[in-house]
Amino acid sequence: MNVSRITLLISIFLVLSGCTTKQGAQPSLEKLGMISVAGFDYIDNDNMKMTVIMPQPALEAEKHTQVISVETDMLHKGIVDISSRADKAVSLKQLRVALFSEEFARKGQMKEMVEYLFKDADVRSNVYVAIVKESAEEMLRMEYPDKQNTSSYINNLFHPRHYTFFNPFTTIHDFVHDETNPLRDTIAPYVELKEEVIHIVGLGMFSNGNMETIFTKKEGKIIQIMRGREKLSVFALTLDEEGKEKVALEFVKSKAKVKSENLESPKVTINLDFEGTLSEYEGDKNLADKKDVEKLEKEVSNNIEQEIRNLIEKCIELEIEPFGLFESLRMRYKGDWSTNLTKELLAKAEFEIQVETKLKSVGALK
Amino acid sequence: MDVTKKKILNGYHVIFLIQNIIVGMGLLSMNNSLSPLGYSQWWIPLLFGLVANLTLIPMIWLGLQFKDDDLYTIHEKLLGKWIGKSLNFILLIYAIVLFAAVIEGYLELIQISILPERTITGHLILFILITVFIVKGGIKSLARFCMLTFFLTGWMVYFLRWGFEDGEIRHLLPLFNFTGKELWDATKGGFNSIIGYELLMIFFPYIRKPEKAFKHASMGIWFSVFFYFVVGIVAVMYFTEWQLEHLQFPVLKLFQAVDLSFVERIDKVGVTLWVFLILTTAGAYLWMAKKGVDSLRNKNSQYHIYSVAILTYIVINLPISQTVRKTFYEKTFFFSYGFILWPILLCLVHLVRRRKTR
Amino acid sequence: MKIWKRARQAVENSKEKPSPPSHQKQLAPISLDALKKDLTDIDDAVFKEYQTKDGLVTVIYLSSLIEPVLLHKMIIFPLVNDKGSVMNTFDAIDGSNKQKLLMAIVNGDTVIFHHNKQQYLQAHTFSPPERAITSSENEATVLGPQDSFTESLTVNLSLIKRRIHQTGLKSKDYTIGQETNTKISIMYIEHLVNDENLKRLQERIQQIDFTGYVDLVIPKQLLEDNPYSPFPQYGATSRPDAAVNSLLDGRIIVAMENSQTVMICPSSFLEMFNSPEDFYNRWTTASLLRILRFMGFFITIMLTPTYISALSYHPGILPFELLIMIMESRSRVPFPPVIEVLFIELIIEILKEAGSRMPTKIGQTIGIVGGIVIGTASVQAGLVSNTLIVLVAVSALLSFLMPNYLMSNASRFVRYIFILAAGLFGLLGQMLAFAWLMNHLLNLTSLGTPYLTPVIPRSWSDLFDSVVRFPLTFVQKRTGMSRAKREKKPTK
Repeated sequence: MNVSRITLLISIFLVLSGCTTKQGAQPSLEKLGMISVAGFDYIDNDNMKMTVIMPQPALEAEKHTQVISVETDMLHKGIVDISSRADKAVSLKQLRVALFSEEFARKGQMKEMVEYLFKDADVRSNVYVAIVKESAEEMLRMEYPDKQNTSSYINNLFHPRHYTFFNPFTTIHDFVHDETNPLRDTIAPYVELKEEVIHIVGLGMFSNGNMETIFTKKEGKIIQIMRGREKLSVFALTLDEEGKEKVALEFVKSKAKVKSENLESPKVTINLDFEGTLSEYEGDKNLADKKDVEKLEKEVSNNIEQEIRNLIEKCIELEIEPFGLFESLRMRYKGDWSTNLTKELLAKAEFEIQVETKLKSVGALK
Repeated sequence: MDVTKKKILNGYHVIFLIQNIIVGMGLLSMNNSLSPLGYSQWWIPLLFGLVANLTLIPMIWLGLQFKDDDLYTIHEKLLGKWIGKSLNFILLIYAIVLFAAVIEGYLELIQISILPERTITGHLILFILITVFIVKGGIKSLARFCMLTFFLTGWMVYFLRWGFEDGEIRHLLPLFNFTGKELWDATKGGFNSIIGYELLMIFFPYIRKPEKAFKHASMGIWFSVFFYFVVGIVAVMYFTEWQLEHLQFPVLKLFQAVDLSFVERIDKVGVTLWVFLILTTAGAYLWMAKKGVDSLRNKNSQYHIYSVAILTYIVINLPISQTVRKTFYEKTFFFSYGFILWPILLCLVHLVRRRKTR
Repeated sequence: MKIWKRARQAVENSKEKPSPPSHQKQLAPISLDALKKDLTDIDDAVFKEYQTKDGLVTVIYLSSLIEPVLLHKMIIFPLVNDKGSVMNTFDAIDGSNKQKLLMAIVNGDTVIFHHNKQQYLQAHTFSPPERAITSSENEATVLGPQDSFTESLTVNLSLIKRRIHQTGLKSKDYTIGQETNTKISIMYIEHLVNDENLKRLQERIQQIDFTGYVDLVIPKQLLEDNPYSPFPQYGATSRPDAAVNSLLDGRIIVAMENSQTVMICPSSFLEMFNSPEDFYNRWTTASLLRILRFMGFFITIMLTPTYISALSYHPGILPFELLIMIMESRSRVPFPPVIEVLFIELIIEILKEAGSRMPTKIGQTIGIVGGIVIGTASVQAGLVSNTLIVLVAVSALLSFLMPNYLMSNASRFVRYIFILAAGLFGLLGQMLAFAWLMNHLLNLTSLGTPYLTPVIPRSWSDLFDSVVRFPLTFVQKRTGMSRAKREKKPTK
């Protein structure tokens, strides 16, 4: 009994000391500056310019966001520098978006930086990654007077919403996953600051850790479809050459099956099944007639097939493989798969594409 | 409830005791240890479970021969007093080292991800204190705590759902895509996530129905293997081979993929809830050490728990360098592999002796 | 068990037992003067003499314990107008045993001394003014019978015995307490109760030794297995229907004179969350309410500590909008979260204590002033943040969800431990404190049965009445908790 009384006393003292806060102990919430968005700009091979924004919670402050820039060569050194310019201890715990300028992505150490963020235990692995057209710092310093505050604005911009499901939103995890996956190349959204509003203009394609080219948004949609994303939204097509017949479809369900076989002379079969409703149609066909609707379905399928073929040819030319076409080949492959193997197969492969569209309803009006 | 009864563990206690002792630190870094195998590592836990089940058989057989004796007494009976006592002493050291290894591993994880700005002294003391409280109630208190832990932490399997959705199921397929050497490397590192069932030999005399002990202990092993299996599948689906090789704790990243609307960073909640599993594993080793001291001094006393706890605290705080400590822990895990095969030897000795006395 | 034994021994060693009445041979009856001497300075003791047909008769009683009309009707009138042998209607009492005579007088009986026959007689006239049977204040329900126990033992016994009409319902009486000599009564149903539990309880009652018992809670604490635990190990109720329910389950009820509650043993943790209305509501409502109460206990101990650990140690847990909102509300507060939380918790405790002491007229005003004005003013002054006041108020409300008052006090105590642990170690501290709490609960026993029994069930039918209440056809009344005998009573 005596010993347990002593242990009880010790534990009480231990617990009571929770009331005191020592110097240098963990600061509580309002004394922390939470970095919500970090931007990286290219200076030269070693140095980069880091810009961070932190929301300013005090009600009396004039601006609701604080922006700080430093030049540094290592991420954590940059954080220390930033802390010396802010009045609070700066923390990466609530980092939401990481922006990289285009130059940084093409020439700099973006892959290493993202990997470093991935390994940091403080940073969540679903931080979004994006490429900025000119300067990340400018985008962060710009004032968006009609938005609540910059941090929420940028955070919500990159969060997948209904009409933007087609755009790929890459998180740090996705980035590192694709970088280290020998079968697939990385993609990241490409944004541009136009007229004081941030636009998502396209898709950055990576190869060997550096950004090679930019694809358009439509190509991005096709990549998403082929990667197997099931939640889609509106897809607009122009069915004929003069631009007279236009269709906007709202996809309810989409299924993509990509199969590849035969290592020596690889053949890739792509089967796409779509089910959707027709939200807008401009053209000559009569939507009440079943035969016409069937013809429309066929035309849509052919159109999509042609787009895919064009895209694949473009990829073969650029030696980039963002789809993950050879996954089924890897299932039967013995040994370690290398990136060169993917490139070889991509160059040699034959493609068979089959698209089927089902229009469930043609809208409320007949 | 009669406190003088010795046979106090019924079947459910055995199942959950074994299951919780096995699941400790191992699950968090299992995928990393198995990473030499690449994508084919998801069915390896099944293999380990099979091996574990097979090595369970000599333990049960030995226990059934000596129904009221735990391993310490069996050593003395079979091998004579002096050899037996020295073997018991080695076992005691093994228990203390494993106790320290489990605690230190977990507290290191805490220091990395949850409380990065502190030394581990404070939580170390608190942790050891609570383990001492649990073990003071004897093996039955430990068994009940294990049952509670199973229900308190088992539902976290649901969090794997997000990893499952985001993952690529075709990662699973090349089933045997590894060489023999890779398999050996993986087993060396990975099998220590499934040891823990050898403690059955120490609490065997407390089991009420020893004939059914084999069934119950096997069920305990296969429950743990189920958890490892599910985590293995989701991890293989969600990560690439490079990530598996380089991430120290893949389960944490799996938790981070969870997307709930009212709380973020589920991995912090997951890691702190994990403390229950570590408490059961550490508590079991502390109990084993207590029994060792009891048998060495031929006296049952609660002070043994306190002395072992204080000794462990000193061991953890010794100024040995980190690398020496890590290699020491790894060597101890090798010792535990030997310990699993040890009952086979004891069974042979027992058979030889029986034949002699006939 | 050990702790209880030591407590018992400590009390025993410090007191000397009064010497038992010595066995005298059949001596002469005690003289009235000797009785009068023992009753000096008891000014409401009455010695009156009446002339009856048989001679002089002295009537001795304590007037404060006897209603005058009853005395007159039962004793004085028949004595004086004695037509027949009224003396035979009274019980004989051993006249040479002074202790017994005095006990009878202080117990409220009337002692009658017949001078001619030199004989003492006794009449049971204990009838002090009693409270009427009202509805229960602390355990009010909407449905079901509304009567509740009062302070009189006989009334309580009658409330139970009118609900169970059989000879299997036993009620054994004991007298405990050195100075107070209070009567307690143990009730059980013979063919359902577990003999081992009964024997244990009886042994303990006969061995406890304490100065005096004012309310049932005091012997309750002395009869417990673990007096150091913050959790009550025996149930208590002030409603006869709840008491009868537990009797039917094979448990033992202890009722005490002057006590408004009865004690139910053995009891378990989950039963502290049962309200008697659970069986009157339909099973869906009852299950939902029980789940609410159960969740209430865990939320009340976890809510404010989670706030502290989320703000001090793990800001990454909060979603973004919530983070901004909390940062704004805390931006003016000068204290760290732990101090802030302790401050508000202490204010709420002070309000509660002060409010319960004040006279009703002032109490309401002060309550409103304290609650609203202090709360609003402190937020505006920047002493506390408004999100925290909401959280603390919600968790204080949740702690009152529990029907058992001792349990809600225990949960408040546990909450302070969690707050300190969270302030020291964040989420890890909370989980370690939770592990300690679970370990403590797992090791508690209530009269030998484990305290968390329905959670770790003894038989599968236990689960039907634990957190979720299944329809009555599934609920077996002989649960594993009480280890009741399972033979059915032979039908008539």
